[in-house]
Amino acid sequence: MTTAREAGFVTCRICSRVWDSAETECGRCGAALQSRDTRSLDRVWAWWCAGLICYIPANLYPMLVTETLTSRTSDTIVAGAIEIAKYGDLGIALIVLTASVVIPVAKFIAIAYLALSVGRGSVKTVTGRMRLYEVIEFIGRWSMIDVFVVAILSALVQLSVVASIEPGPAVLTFALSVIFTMLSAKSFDTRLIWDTPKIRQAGPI
Amino acid sequence: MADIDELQVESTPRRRPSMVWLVPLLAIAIALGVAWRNYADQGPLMSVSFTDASGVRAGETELRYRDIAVGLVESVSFSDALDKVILSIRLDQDIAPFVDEESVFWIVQPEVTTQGVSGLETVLSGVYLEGDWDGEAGAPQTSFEGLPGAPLLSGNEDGTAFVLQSPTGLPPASTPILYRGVEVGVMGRSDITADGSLVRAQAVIFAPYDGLVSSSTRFWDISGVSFNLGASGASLDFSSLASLIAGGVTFETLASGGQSFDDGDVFELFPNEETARQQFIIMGESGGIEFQVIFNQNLPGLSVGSAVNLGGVRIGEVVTIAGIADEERFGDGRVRLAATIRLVPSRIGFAAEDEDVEFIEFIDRQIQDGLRARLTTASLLTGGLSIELVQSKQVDTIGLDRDAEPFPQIPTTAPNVTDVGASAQGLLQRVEALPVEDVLTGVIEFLDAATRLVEGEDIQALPADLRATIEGIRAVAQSEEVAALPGEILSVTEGLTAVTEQVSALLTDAEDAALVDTLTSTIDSFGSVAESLPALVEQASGVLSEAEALALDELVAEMTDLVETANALLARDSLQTLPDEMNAAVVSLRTLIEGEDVAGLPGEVSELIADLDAAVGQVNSILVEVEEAALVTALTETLENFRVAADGLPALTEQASAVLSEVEELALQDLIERVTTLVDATTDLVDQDSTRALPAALNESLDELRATLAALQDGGLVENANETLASARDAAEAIADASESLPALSARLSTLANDASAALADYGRDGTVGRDLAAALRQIEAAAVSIDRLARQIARDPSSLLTGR
Repeated sequence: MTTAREAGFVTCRICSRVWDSAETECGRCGAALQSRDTRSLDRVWAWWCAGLICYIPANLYPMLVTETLTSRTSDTIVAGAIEIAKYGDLGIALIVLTASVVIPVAKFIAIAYLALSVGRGSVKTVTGRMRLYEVIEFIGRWSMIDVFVVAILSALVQLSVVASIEPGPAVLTFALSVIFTMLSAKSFDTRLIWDTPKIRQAGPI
Repeated sequence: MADIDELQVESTPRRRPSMVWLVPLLAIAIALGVAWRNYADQGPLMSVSFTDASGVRAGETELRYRDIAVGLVESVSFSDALDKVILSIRLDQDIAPFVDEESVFWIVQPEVTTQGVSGLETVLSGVYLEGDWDGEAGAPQTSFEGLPGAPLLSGNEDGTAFVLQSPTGLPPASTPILYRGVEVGVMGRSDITADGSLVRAQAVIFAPYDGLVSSSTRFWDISGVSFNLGASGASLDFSSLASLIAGGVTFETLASGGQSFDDGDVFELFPNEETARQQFIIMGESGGIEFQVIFNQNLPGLSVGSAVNLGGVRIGEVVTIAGIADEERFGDGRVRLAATIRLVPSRIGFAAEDEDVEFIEFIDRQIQDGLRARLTTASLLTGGLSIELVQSKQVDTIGLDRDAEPFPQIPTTAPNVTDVGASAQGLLQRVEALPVEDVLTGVIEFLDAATRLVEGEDIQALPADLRATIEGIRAVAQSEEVAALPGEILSVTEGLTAVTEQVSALLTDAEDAALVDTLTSTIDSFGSVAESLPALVEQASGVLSEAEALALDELVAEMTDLVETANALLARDSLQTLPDEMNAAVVSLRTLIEGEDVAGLPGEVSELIADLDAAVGQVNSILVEVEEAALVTALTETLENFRVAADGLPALTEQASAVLSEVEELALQDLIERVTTLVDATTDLVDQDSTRALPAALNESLDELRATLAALQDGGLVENANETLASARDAAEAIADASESLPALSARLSTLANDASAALADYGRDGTVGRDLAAALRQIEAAAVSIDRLARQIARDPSSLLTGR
């Protein structure tokens, strides 16, 4: 398979116009042309780390603070999901767990895998990794469902003394974590997947 | 070109990392910062141990100070021996320095007591820990012993804590201590002393009220109701409704001075005010002075604490009681009662400083004046005794025996003890000796007999007989005859009275013989007159014929002569007056004939007969009503009289005939002669002018006579007489009728009398019925009394109807 870089072309990432590799500026839209974002991985890892850092308190601190007449409970994400499962709502518990734990964690793993594989110059399952990236891109935004739920609940359930729900500190960090992972995925230059180390090392642009 | 690019690509990351790396670095920095700050802000962890920590939950239960959360229970664990619960509490950093060794902790739980509801908020939020410490930082301490409940004085309250104790019992915790109704303190939890003899409780009096308390203060319980039945009557006391429900303790400082009130002082709680005051009186500021009293009589009833009174004022109490037998001292071997009494001088106004000496001197003087101690009855019911210091009659020189051992001795006198028990026992014995059983047996027998009697057939039938008898009597009484009887008797009586009067008047008249004779003769005369009238007329016509036959010529001649002589006579003055006199005489005669006596005679006779008729009618009617035999007899006699009178009428007629016969027999010759003489005599008169009027006058006289006779005829004498006879016959018939009806009346009266006498005989018959009736009435009365008693018994004790007693 021949890449555009191998063929001596470069694509404008803004207007998709194909130019010769020698061009540094898109003649149509004026955007800078770059065959490969060589600092992409650097930014991916930086966002990735930030997201991971934020994900830790997001799981340690309570996500929801529920105050009723007699009690005040504050549940972390996992504890909340387990409690829901205890009450018998396994489906809802699975949804919560998927949205709040499985997807973010899978994203972290997937991005790390992509970044590592590109860093090592692996040439295996190129198309598979390309599809993996697309899945990550698509599914990443759904992680915010937790935040939305908390935001809506805390806005709706404000019954003064009887019952009230307030967002816990984990909401903020969880949202940050999701945002950072999205930025991390966004920073990834998918074209790097196609470059074999040999090409990268020896191949001309 | 490509190499250069490649180099650039490879070299650039290594030389300058992406700016994006600042983001994770910043995140790490923030996280670290937060972590450090959390740690730095964290207060010290301390542990408080409780025996019971119900409701405490790790991570939720707060520690509060003045109701503001200053910490959180982090964990709950057990002590090593599992006998305590240890709460690990994370204190707030800023409050931690104040939690020093004086800090106390307790668990606030919802509590409902008579004092109200506390800790209500913990029902919803769960229990919390309350801590209390002062506002001064001290040496930090991390291990505390929790209190079982809230302390009496919290950190922001000032007051004095003391101990209340009582041998019997204390009010529950948090009972208020009231002073004149204001809550000035509170009691804590009761506890029992180690030896078990007393109940103790911590209590506090809040500042500034703790100034009200001194060693002269006595506390007493005002919880509940006290009921006293004493010599002054019954009294029911309770301080207030609140204290009745919630209880309460109050106090009074009974004397000024005294030692001030300090933390840890111990006071006794008395059951009521009276006890407290008495205790103060006796045990008050000074202990009193002790004396010894020895009574010759060893009477039961005196006890330690019995009152010693002087003139009604309690001035002390009995401290000890002992028996004493000292043959050498008293002269015999009897056991005497030796009591030690303590008198409190301040009770009778001796000042505190000089009381001992002054008081003993006072007692000494009083004893010399006759003051003696004696036993007296304190309570009639219990037979308790007290000692009374009284002024005895015996004045002697014995003073206070100051040398007696162990205390000065007060002489005694005879006791004034009423043995109510013995009297009551005697009374009861007498009551017991009463033959109640016999009386009851007699009463029961009597009642049985009465019951049998009342149930007997004779008595049962008696009311029916009685009713029948009464009905018979009523039937008789209601019969028309009897009902009419009173009216008849009344009319008979009235009739009898009238008849008696009439008869009496009649008999009086009848007895008047003259009247009857006069009447008889009068009637006879009239009868004769009547019968002889035709003859009289004939005789008169004869007279006239004879007169006609007379030689009138001669007569006329004579008359003429007479007239002439008369003229001559009349010519004389002396004769001139004669005609006038004659005229007057004729007039007089006419007047006589016309006189009411004569004219009224027939009327009077008629009236008499009418009266008689009426009398007979009355007698008849009376006889019809009265039908009295004697009256009839009398009337018969009266009628006999009348008949006799009537019999006399023919005689009367005969007499009248005789009169007329005599008139007839009168010699007409004589008459003619007399008339001739008269005419002769009167010729002279006639000769006078005045004499000529004489015939006219004579004519008038004759007219008058004729009129008189006519009147006599018209007077209805005969009819009256006929009527009189008819009436008499009617009367006789009526009397006969009446006589016929008499037997019937008497038969009726006799029947009535028989009935009445039978009825009365029934009543009066030797009193059997009367006795039976009286006995029956007595039994009915007794039965009514029994029923009344039964009713009252049931009213008093309705259950007896059910229980059968």
